[in-house]
Amino acid sequence: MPVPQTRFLTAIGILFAGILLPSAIGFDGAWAKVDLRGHATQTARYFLEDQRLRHQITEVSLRQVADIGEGMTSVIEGRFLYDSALFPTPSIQFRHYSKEVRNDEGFEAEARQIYVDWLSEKWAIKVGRIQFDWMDSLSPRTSDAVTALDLRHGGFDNPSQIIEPVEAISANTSVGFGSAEFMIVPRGRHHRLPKGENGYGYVERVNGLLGGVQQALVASGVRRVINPALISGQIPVDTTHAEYGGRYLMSASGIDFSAFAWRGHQRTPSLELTFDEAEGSSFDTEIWDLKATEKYPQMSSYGVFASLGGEASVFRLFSLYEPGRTPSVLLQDELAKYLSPALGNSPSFLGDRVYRSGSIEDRLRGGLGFDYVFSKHLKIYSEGYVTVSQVTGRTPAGDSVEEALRDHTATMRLTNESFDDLFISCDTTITGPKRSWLISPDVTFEWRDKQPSANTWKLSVGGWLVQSESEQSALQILRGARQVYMRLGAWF
Amino acid sequence: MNWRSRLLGIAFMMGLCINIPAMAAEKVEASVVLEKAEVIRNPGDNYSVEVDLSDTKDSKTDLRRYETFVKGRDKALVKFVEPASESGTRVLMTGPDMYVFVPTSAKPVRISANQKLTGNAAYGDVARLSFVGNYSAKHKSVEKVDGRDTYVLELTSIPERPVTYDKIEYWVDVKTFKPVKAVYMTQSGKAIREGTFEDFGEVFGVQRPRIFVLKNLLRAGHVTRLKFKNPKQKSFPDLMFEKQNLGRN
Repeated sequence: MPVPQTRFLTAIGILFAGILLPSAIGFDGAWAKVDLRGHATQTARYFLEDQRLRHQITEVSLRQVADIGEGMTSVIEGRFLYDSALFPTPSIQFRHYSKEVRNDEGFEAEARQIYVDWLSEKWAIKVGRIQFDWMDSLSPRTSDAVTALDLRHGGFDNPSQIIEPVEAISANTSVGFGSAEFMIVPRGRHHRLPKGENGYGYVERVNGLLGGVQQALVASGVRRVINPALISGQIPVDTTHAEYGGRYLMSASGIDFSAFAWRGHQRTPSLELTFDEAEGSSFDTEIWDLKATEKYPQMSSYGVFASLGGEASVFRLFSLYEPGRTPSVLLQDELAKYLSPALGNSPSFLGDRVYRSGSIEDRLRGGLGFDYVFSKHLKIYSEGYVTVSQVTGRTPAGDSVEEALRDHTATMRLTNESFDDLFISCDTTITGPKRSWLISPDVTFEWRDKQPSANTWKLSVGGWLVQSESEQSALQILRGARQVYMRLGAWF
Repeated sequence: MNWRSRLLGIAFMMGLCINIPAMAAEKVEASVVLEKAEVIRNPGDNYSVEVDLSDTKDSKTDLRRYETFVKGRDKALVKFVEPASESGTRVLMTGPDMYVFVPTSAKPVRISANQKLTGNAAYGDVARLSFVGNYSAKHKSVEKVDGRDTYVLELTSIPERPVTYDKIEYWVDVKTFKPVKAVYMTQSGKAIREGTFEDFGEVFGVQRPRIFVLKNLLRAGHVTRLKFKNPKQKSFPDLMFEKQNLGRN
């Protein structure tokens, strides 16, 4: 079945599920109290690089909450997206997106959440498709362990927009001086990445890496036809790859404490580079495939968080430990032999750290956050963290290597609410050691009629300014995504 | 009896009249007055109530609707119902800790105690958390308000309690112990808001205020009116007031 038809049927399915689920579960109790909310927005994003219209996104989100019994509710949340800029029209000439990108980003109908929630005296249980984030930090991007994110457009949108939903069973209950929560996710998800070059960096970076390797192979004297390709990977769906974890939360003397352990998968892919003879290769024309295969290895992660709230301030501390990760780029031994003359003994290649297969990385991340409310004129929310990675393995040349790498990220949000209908904010993210920064100012004007149930309208204008000092900066991949945007939305 | 004796007698009688309320005030401990007033102001330890809030400033009115759930004296959950753009937002107050869940953030975030709700009103006003257990009380004076004798209590916040204001002057009717008005102050004693309790009617078998009007003393013409309606007595599970369950429905 063609992709658009499948997605249209998904959209219809979500709507029917919204109508039928409360009835199916609640029987006579269904419709006792049903709340249907939604919003529709139109967003235009203009890239600064070439002044072309790149996104013209229409979004409709619906959320239905129904009381279906004592302490039991059902929630259906659907999102429909259509990006008209990705489809050809006579008026706009520049169409550089591939078919894969258009299929992936042009139209989407997705159930963001469908779950039954049961709250009793002893247990709080959620079953279904949910969004969750156990990191006690300002941005979901801090976590690369538990929550999968939609990074197709850089991953700087609202958390609810970018947190990938998963099918899960979650239960929490009071234990000792706090409460414990357990969760099982039968089918783990990885970060959602663009299917092709869409201006937000990932595929551009992989293509740059493959191109660099291809050049290095030629420089090493390889005289063959080389076909570079990115092979998408998936987390296997079976009982051994189910994800699970638990956390404990407590609060005493104004200090809020939580700790979690999670058995899951790497959310960002580890690229395994291989170089093998292709099918169709002949004695006259030797064709070889240079493949970057996305792998999502299993891993465990452990987090500890604490926060202290004052009259005008909140102070947060957190630490995240992820032992046994797989480095982001691994070379097959055969390929490493070809490349080692060009790469030498350094694992640094085109801004990536490149190691041979079998290398592992232990990662420790520590951070602190501080929020302060001066007045409605100025509120500050900030967070910074340092990540230390200890890599043990082999360089492309085959020598043993044990090295510690460090990077840091700081984010700050300033808000101003001096005017009743105007909300002004500015988010800043700075990464290092090769410094790069992203600043995203936003001004939102809100208005509605004089009834509490009247629709609310919002008009937002903002942008992304990205700058980096080096090709190796973490935000370098977003340089092509410098943009201004305008969004008009209605909440009903 | 000479004129001097008569004058002394009149002065004594006048003094007695003036001091009658003060003597009555002495008979009732400030903490007892506070408890009796709170039994009237606050519908109880376990209840839910809908709150219609209208905030008028510069002749422009903003209308909002909330649903609040209260358990004990230090736990309250405020659900935002209207406007639609804020529906799904929740604020949890548990002891000195305060959290907000905004649907777009997808997880609860700890906030500082002075994050205001809207206009004059703070989360504590909407949740109508009890003063008892959160403030210590002492008598300040006895005054007449609208012809009624009232105790004027001086309330000082107890550290690490879920309070919105550092100090409160609280007027309580001497005869009925009905709350009359309150002036909310900063730590330094600067008066910032004045609240009056209005529209007394039967709620859970007791005459209670159903409207609370809050005037901004720093900005003339800025008035917030909270109307409490559809109160229901119910015991809610403790888990409902846990941070990790804040995003639940």
